[in-house]
Amino acid sequence: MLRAKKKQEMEQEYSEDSMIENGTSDSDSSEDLNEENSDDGFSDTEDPSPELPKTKRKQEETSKSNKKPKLEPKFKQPTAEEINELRETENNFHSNLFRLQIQEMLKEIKIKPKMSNQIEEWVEKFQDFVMNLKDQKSKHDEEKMTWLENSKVKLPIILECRLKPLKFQFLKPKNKPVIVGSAANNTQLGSKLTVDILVEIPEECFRKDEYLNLVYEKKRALYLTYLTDQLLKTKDEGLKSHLKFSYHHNHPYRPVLEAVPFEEFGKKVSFRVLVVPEESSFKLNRFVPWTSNIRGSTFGEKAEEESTHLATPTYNSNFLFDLTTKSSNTLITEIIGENQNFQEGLLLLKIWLRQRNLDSGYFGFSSHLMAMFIVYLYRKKRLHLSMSSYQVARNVWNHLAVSEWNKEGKGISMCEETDLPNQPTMEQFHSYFNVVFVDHSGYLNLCANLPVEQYLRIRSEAEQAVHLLNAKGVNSFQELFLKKTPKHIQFDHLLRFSQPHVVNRVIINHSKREHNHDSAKHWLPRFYNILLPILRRGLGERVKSIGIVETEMKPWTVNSPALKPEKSLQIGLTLNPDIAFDILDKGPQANEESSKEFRDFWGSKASLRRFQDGSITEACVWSSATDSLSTKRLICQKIVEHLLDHHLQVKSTEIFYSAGQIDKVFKLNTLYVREVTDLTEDAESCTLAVIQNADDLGKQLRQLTDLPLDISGIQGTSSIFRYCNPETILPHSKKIEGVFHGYSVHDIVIQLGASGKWPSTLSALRALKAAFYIQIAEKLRDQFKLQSKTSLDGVYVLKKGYVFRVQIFHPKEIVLLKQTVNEKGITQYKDTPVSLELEKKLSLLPKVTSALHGVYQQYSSFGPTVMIAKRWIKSQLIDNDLWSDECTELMIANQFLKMGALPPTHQPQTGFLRFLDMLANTDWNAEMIVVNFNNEISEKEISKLEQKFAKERDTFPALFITTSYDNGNTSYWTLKEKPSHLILKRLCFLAKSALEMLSKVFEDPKQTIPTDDLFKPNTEGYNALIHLNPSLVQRCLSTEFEEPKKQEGSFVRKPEKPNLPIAGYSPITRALQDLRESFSEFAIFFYDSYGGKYISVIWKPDLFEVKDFQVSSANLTTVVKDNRVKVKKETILEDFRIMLSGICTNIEEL
Amino acid sequence: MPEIEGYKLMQLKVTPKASNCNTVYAREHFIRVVDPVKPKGRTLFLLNIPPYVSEGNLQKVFSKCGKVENVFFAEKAGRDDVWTTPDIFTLERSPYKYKVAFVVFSDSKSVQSALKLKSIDLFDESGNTLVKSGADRYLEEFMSKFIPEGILQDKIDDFMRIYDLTEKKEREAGKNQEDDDGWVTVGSQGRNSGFQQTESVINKLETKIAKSKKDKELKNFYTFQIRENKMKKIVDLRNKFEEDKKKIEIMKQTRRFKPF
Repeated sequence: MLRAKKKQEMEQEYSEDSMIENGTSDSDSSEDLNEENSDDGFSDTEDPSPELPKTKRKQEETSKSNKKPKLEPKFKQPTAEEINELRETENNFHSNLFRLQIQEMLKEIKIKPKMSNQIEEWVEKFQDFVMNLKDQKSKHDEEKMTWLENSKVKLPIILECRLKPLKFQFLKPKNKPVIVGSAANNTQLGSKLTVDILVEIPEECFRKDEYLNLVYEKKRALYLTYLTDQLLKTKDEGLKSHLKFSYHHNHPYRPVLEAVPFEEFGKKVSFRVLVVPEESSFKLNRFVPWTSNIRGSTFGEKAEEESTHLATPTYNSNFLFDLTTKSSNTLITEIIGENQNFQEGLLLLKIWLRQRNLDSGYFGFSSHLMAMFIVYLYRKKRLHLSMSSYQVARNVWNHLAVSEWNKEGKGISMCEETDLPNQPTMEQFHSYFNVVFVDHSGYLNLCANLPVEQYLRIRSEAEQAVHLLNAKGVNSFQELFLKKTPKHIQFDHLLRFSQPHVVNRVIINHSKREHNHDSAKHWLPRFYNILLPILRRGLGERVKSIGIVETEMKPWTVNSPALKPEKSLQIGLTLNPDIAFDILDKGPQANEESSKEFRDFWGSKASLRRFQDGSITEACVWSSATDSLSTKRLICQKIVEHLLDHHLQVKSTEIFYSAGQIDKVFKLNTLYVREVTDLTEDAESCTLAVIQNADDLGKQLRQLTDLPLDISGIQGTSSIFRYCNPETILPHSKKIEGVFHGYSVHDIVIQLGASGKWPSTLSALRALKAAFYIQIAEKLRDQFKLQSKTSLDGVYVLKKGYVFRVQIFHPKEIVLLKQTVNEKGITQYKDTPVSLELEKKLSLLPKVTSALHGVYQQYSSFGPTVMIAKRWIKSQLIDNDLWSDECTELMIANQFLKMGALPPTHQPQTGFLRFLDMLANTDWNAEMIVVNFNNEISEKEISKLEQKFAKERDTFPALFITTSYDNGNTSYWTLKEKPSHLILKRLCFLAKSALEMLSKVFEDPKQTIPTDDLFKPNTEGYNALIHLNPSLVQRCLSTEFEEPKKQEGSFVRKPEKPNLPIAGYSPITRALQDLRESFSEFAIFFYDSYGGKYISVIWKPDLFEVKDFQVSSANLTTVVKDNRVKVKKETILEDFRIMLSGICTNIEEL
Repeated sequence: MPEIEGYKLMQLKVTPKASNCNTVYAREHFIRVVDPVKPKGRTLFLLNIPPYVSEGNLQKVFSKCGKVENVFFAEKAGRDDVWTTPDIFTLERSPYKYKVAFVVFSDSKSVQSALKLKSIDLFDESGNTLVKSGADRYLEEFMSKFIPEGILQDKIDDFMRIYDLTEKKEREAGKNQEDDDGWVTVGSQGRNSGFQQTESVINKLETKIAKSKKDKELKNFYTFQIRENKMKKIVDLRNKFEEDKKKIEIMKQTRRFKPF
């Protein structure tokens, strides 16, 4: 009976479609769907090949069905295509969302058909132009080349050597120029496209021995110049372009021609003409690694030195690169050009490299290399044609992450033949190169220019990418492909050589002969090869990786002479936190032979030391054991500066080392304190003493006898217990005339044992709490002789110069605050602002405090990063009432805890820059912050919350932060109006402009970090300033940036301590609260609570308009005429004066 | 005398020489609903009272027009919830805002004479202001939390005695006793106590009933149910897909897919 009825209903519901009748197709597809497929495509590198044809079909169908708009009702019978697509997504992609994001991103960078037509047209014209060129009739001596003298084009090469005079004749290329590189296989990147066109120099242009002594470079440049000259003279309007030369791969011997069409599409496209010899011009085996193709005489060396020819492996490789350009491009196009999934996979990988700045420059991991690696993996059957773009990228990362191309026997080769004439073996490659990836020809090491350090960095990035993909619940897509990581947030320390004369001096004095030859005197590898061994040896395990940031050389117009390479280089260090802060480098025992070598390397820093285990060894000591952590964080800087001075005679003033410049914002201001010890140097080192005393107090509280209830939990809640307070707290507090005086009060929350006897009204409960306070205060006095005072809001205890306030937390208090009775007489519990605040303060904050303390133990730079960030936010006049301190703390904790594109930093300054970057580049409307301590929130819960967040965005505050201790979607850390949309927007804007200012500093060789400018508020845009009575201003005893104004007269900074205020009494904070409460409809107030000397005021818009009299908005109005009223500014200012009597000295209108 | 829509205008002077004073709008309090606290004819209604003016201030100023019974503040004119002074243990502060005031006189004549005032003078004969604000106010407020322990203990004891008494009365009332008409008030005490009338308890009971009903059903028994389940899975998948698409749509609006 029941069954029949149900079936009827069902049929009614689904009457439009045939699903129920058509039983077979239904069960088929459903089974398909439910089937657990082992081929997940994630971790397996080898997919079972029988799957091949099936999946291929699917993919074709997918691409079709994607375009179809999906508007069918949800209950329609699924088509095979749809099931396939859904299933494919499940199997071949990370998730639906990931797949859709990939599609969207690829769509963004896709070239429009109109554009590709225009490109094609241009290239065709260029091909015609080249093929219609005429050969020069005869060879010309270098001195007698009249065409060159008459041409406007200047030769785009500077060779730092003497060449024998050569003869040059232009012969037109035999083959049509072809598109190579990314444009050949549809993998161009970026909003500005570059199309590479390859022109082959016919072999007849070269004599058989011209591979020697840089003649080839010169001839190639001449050929390019001739071509450019002709292009300038061409009559074809469509070809007219802005012509510029630039250096390919940042290598000054490899000029290329850049043509930017005059036409509209030139704004988006530029063409790059590469000139290479035909592969048959020279025998490839002339360029095996051990041969010397540059003789000493080229550099003016004397004959006796010349007798030993030095091998030039790198030079040879670059030569080979030119010779094999065409064949390798054919190879890539054959495999990647034909398969859309490979193309998209390569695009993903290229974006990934680009966002990490790893793909450009002389030392870069070029996209050509990446394409060749994909070809290699395909040939090794690690990738196959049916794989999705996601799988391609994932597999490449997997293989890259486990590769060891720098180890003997682990390098890879694409060449299948083994008996080519004079073919180098893999062992031979390894003995000449650090990183080995041999191409299809068998002679060229594609990684010849790639330093080991750079290779290792890429490898660890690949590892991180795989980790990110595996971590579910992280939006890995954003982190992998869309997060930009500019150098100043990428590295912990950044070392910059920006003075060319310093670089020159180092090269001239210290360059080795073999490097001169190998690099053909290119300054960059020479300099790098001098610098790196010293840094590597000196820093050793202290650094995880040493990155290179090259200065990209700009293109120049063809009419001006070749650009001299700009000699500046930056080295980025990523620290290894376990060792980087060690104060000691231990060397060999004194009597060992290697001790001399150790002394030579370390110079004056090396000294003999006797250790506790009785050994006497050589050692370098960089800092004393009692030094503050912020000093120890800069040990690497000390080492680098010492070694540069010792080995290369570079003084620390000649370089710029960016690491600890901003740290001064939490350093103790010595103006206020006579003696500075190691323990009071900065806020971080002051924190420890406070925490120790709080722990002592905690112990004493537990020992109190005869309390009616036991104390079951004790936890500090002030930010100092999380190492997040930038104020330097010194044991200054004392009792004066019965009242505690001191700069700050630290909160401690205690919980009492369970009891059923607590009263059930709020006042009674609080009255009982007060009774407890009296008891605790009395007992502390009796048992431990501690100074203590009872207040209605806690017990104030003075202990060793610190004032603590002990408060009792009882959960019932929150319940009582939430309690309301609705009209049915049912008791309800609803969050109110007051209950939320109390719950946060007394219940959550203790837990979060201990968790954040844990974060600090794990990543010691967390605390100081928060200190800098807090001071920065306050210095922009945004105080705790507008943007809560905990909000900053949790945001930065999240930065350290979450998995992302960047591993946690170990230098607070970098942490701060990352915080600014996060503020500036996050869309807070679409993203929330989940601080998942100990991964206590499950993925499911997070995704549920994310869904709710996306769906009901309006019910959440402007910025939403949740932690593992919160109750689901209740927002404790941010409220609707704290921060308000306005403040959030303003802070993001300020972060953006601060970052812009800073990134200029990192680009411009002459500047250093303008800490003072960063921490000074912009006073523009405010309507009035309320100057405060300086004796009431609470200062944080750290570095002050804001200069006191002279004309106020009342306050001139004196080098003495400000008067000790009453502990816990902060009239300015209270005044701000009152101002905000009273004038919430009229004005907004801004204040730097770390010692700001004025409150800034902005009137709300339309405040002073004349309006009709209304009972509901009569506040502050004055009658003008005819029943019209207006708010008078003078009245408001007068009320400010009344409300702030004794607090403000003067109100200044702006 | 200046007037606007029936309101008399008064200058609120904090000191004898004050300039740029606030204008207080005053009239006799009049609404249709009778409120025993604000008796008709005897209550003066004042608009635009600055935060720093206290009940005491107004009491003193208007006592020259007649005996003032009471002064109340409220945030807005229409609302009937007047501010009450919180007792010392709740640690709450009264709001510090621009507000309206009700001054209740014991005599209706006083209202009229009050309406004749040109200014509200918040200063004494020697010209010193009556208003307590700024640093003095904050210091007093801060120090008032530190009550000497002996006095505090006495206050707590008094407070708790009263609390215990009221508590006891309520408990008595809560016992299940039959009244004269034979009705029993079911309280939370005693043998036949009812369950607590809180939202969470009621919700729990309701879900429990619903669940026990559901548990009795057979779910994977009939063919149509199995079919339905399969269908549901597909629908779920589609829903998820649609949701993801929506998410992307939102992300697209902020142009988040431009890598460079």
